[in-house]
Amino acid sequence: MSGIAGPARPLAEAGSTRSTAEAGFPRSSADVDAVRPSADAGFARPMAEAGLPGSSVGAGAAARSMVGAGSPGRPGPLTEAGSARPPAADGGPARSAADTDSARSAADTTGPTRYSTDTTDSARSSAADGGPTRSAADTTGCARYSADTTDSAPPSAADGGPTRPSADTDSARSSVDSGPVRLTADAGSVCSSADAGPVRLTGDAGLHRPSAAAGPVRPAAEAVVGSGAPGAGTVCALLPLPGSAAPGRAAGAVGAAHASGPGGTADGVGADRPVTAIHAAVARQAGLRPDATAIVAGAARYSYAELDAAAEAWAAALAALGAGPGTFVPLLLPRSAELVTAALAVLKTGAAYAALDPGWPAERLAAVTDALAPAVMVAPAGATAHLNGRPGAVWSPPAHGIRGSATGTGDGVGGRPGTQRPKGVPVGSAAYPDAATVYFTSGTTGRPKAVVSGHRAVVSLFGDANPGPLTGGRGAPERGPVMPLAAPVSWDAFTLEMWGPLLAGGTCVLTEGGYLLPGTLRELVAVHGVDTVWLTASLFHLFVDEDPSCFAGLRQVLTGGETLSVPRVRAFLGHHPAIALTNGYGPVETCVFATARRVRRADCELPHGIPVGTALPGRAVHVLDGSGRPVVPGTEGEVCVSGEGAALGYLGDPALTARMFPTVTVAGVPTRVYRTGDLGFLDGAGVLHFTGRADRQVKVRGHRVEPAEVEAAARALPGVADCAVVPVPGANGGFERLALFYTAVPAAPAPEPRSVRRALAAVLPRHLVPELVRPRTALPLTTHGKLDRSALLDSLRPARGTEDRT
Amino acid sequence: MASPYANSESTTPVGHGGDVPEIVLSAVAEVTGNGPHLLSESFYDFGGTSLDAIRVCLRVGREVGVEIAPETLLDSEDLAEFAALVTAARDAR
Repeated sequence: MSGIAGPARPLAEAGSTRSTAEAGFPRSSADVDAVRPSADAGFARPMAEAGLPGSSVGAGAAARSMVGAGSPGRPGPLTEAGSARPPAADGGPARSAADTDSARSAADTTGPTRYSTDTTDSARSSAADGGPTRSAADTTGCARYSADTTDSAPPSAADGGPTRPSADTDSARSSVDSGPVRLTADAGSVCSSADAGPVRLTGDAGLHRPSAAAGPVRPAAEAVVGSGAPGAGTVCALLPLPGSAAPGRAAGAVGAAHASGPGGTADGVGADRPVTAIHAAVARQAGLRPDATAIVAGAARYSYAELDAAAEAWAAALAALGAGPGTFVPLLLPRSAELVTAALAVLKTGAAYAALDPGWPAERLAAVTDALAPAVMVAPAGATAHLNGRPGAVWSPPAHGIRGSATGTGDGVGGRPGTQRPKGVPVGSAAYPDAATVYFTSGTTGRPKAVVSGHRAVVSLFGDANPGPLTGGRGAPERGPVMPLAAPVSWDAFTLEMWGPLLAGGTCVLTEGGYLLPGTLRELVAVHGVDTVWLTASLFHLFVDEDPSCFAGLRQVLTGGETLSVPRVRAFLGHHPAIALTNGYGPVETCVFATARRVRRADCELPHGIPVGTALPGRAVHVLDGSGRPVVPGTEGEVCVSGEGAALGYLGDPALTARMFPTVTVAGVPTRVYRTGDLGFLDGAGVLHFTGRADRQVKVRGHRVEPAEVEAAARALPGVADCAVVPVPGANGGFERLALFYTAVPAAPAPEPRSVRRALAAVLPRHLVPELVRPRTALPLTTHGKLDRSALLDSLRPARGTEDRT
Repeated sequence: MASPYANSESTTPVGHGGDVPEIVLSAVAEVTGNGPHLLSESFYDFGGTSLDAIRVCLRVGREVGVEIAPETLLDSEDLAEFAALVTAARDAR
C-alpha cells in the first residue's frame, strides 16, 4: 500500500533519490549520478546512538531475530489468539487437508517459484552437500509469526531484549539441541541465515493445532537466528505457493472454466489442485459458494456464480479482441461491479489489467494508456470519444450488465486467447507471464512508473489457504471479510478491497462518491454487514477525530500507508477494544502489504511509534546496510522486501527495474529484493519499525508523491521559469499538503497562482496537485548553493492563508 | 473530538434558515485553524486539502442538516459558491 513516509531525514534531504547506500548494491551505471557522498559512507546507524529501542541489542542471544514458520491453514499474524481456522471452515471437512497435501506435492513437483529459483536451488544443494541439518520446516516452505508469538511478545521485546515466544514448546526446544539447522523454503525464498549461525527451529505445538481432519500437519517452526549472522536483518513469512504454472494455464483457457462450470475440476481449480492465479481463486470460491454474495452495488447483489460466469463471458469477448497472456488491458471504468467483473475477465484471458481512474486528466490517461500498448481497452459505452485515435480496440461492458452476461449468452463465449487475436495487434511484454495488475505510481522523472505485479503477490496474501492481513479479529471466519470497495481504483488499496474479500469468499460492498465518510461506514455496517474496513492513516485519524463511534460493529480496521498518530490510536483502542486494529506497511511494489501489525495498547508507548509489524505470508523483510548486507537487529537500514509480493518490474524500464529489484545475498543465498527506500529497523522480536525515507518521496494524506514529478509538470507550464515543490508537514509528523513555489519567466506576464494550480489540475491527478501555490521572485538557496526547502517552508508560516495570499 | 455524526438529525437543521455562509466560514476557520476567511477565497488559497474538505463538509453538514460530499467544496471556485451549493442542497431537502 505504498511506503510510509514521514518527514525526510536530514540524512537524505538533499535532492538525490534512492540515496541510501547505493555503493554496495548491485546497480546499473545509470545509478551513479544519484549517489550522494553521505550515502556512500553507508547509512546504517546503530539505534543506540539515538536511544532507540533495540539499542541494547548486542551479540549473541540477545540479538536474535526470530523467524516463525507455519503451515497453510494456520492463522496469520493478525488472527486473534486461539482463533485457528478450523479445517472445515469452508467447503467441507477434507478441504484443508487437501490443500495442504496438494500444496506440498505441487511444491515438490513444480519446483521453485519464479522469484527464487536461485535461492531455492542453492539452498537445496547446500543442504544436500551435507550442510546443516534440514528440518521439517523446509517442507512447509514457510516461516511466519504465529499470532501468539507476536501477541505474546511483551512490550519489552521492542527494547531489544531477547523475546522468547510463548509458542516455544518442548518439541521446539528439542530441535534446538540438534545443532545448526537449515531452514529452507521449498516454494519461496530461503528465510533464514542457516549457514551463518545456529538456527533454532521451534515448533509451536499446542497452538493453533489443526484438527485431525486436516491430516498430518508438519510442525510449524520458529527459527531464532543468531545475532550478527548475515541473516540477522531478515524476518520473513513465506507460505508455500505451490506450483509455478502461469496463471493463464492454471485457470484454464477461457471457455474451459465455463464448460466445466464454476468450481469444476477440469479447469484446474478444483479443490485438490493448488490455486496460483487470482481468477482461479475466485472461481474456486464460486464453486464452493455459488450463491454467496460477491458484490453489493446499491440495490444490486451479485453472487459468486454470477460474477464468475459474467467474467467468463466477458473474457471471451476480450480475448477475441486480442487480450491474452503477455498483454495489458486498461480498464477505464469507474469503481463499480462492472469494473470488478472486467478485472476478473481480463485475468481469465491471461492478460493483466490496469485499473485507471477515469477522473484523471485526459493527458495523463493517454500517457499511461500508451505505455501499456494495449490491444484492447475497456471503457463504458458512450464514454469512448476521448479514446479515438488511441491504439487498440475499445470494448464496453454489455448493456444488459453482469446478470445478463452470466447466462452465458454473451457473444464470443468459447473464444480462446491467442487464437483469435487479430494480426498486427500490439502485444505487451512477454517478460511478465505472471502479470496480473499494473499500478501507476508517482515517478521522479515526471512520468508515472508502471509497476507490474503478479498473481502470486495477491494470492499469497489473500488466498484462503494463506491467512493474511484480513483475518484479524475474525475469530474462526467461515467466510471472507465484508469490506467497502471505496479506494481509488488505481491504487493497490483497491486490490486489497477487491481481491481481499473475493479470494476468501467474502463480499465487496461498493460505495458511492469519491470519499468514504464516517456516516457511510456506519450505514454499511448496519445495512450490509460490513465487518472490515481499510482507511489510510489520514482518514483513520479523521474518523477518530470527527466520529469515533462510526467504527462500531466492525471486526477489523486496517490502516497504514503513513505514520500512525499515537493519540488517535490510543483513542481508538480506548473506544473499541474489541476491534482488531491492523497497521499495514508496504509500497505498491510489494503489493498491498509486506508487513502488518495487530496494534496493541503497549505499542503506543514505544519511542518510535506504532511498529509496522512482521512479514505477511509470502513475504520476507530484510533490513540491509549500504553494502546490501543485513544489519543486526536494532540498527537502522534500508527496508527491502523479497518473496511473492515483490513486483515483477517496471514496465518499459529495465534499468530502473534492475536498480530497484537487485539480487542481494542474504545468508549466503542470492535473493531478489525490492529496495523500498524506506528506513527502518528490526527490533529484538523481529518486528519492523519504520523510521523515515531515504529520499524525497513523501506520503501526503496517504498518497505517494515524488515532488520531482510535480515540479516537472509545473516547469512545463507557460510562464513558469523554475519551481520547487515542498511537502508541508502537519501536526502528526506526516505531510498534509504540497506547496509549489515558482518563479516567472522574465518579460512575460507572470502567471497567477490560481491559473497555475488550474493548469496543473489539468495534467496531474488530484493528489499530485499542490494545495498551496506561491509565486516567488527567486527561489532561495542554501550557503551550499542548493535549493533551500526549509526557507521556502518557513516562508509559509506567518499567518498562512491570510498574509501570504496573492 | 466532535459529537457523533448524526444522520438521524438530518431533519432538524440548526436554526431555521441558518446563515449558511456564516456556518461555512466558521467551519473552514475551525478546520484550518487560521481564519477568518472570506467568501471570495478559494479553498486552495489557504492550502485546503481533501481531508480538510471532508472535515469541513462533515461539520457544515451537521450544522445544516444535509450530507455534503467533499467534492462539493473541492470543486467550488470559492467559498461563496460552496455556500450557495450547500444552501441549495438544504432548500432542496
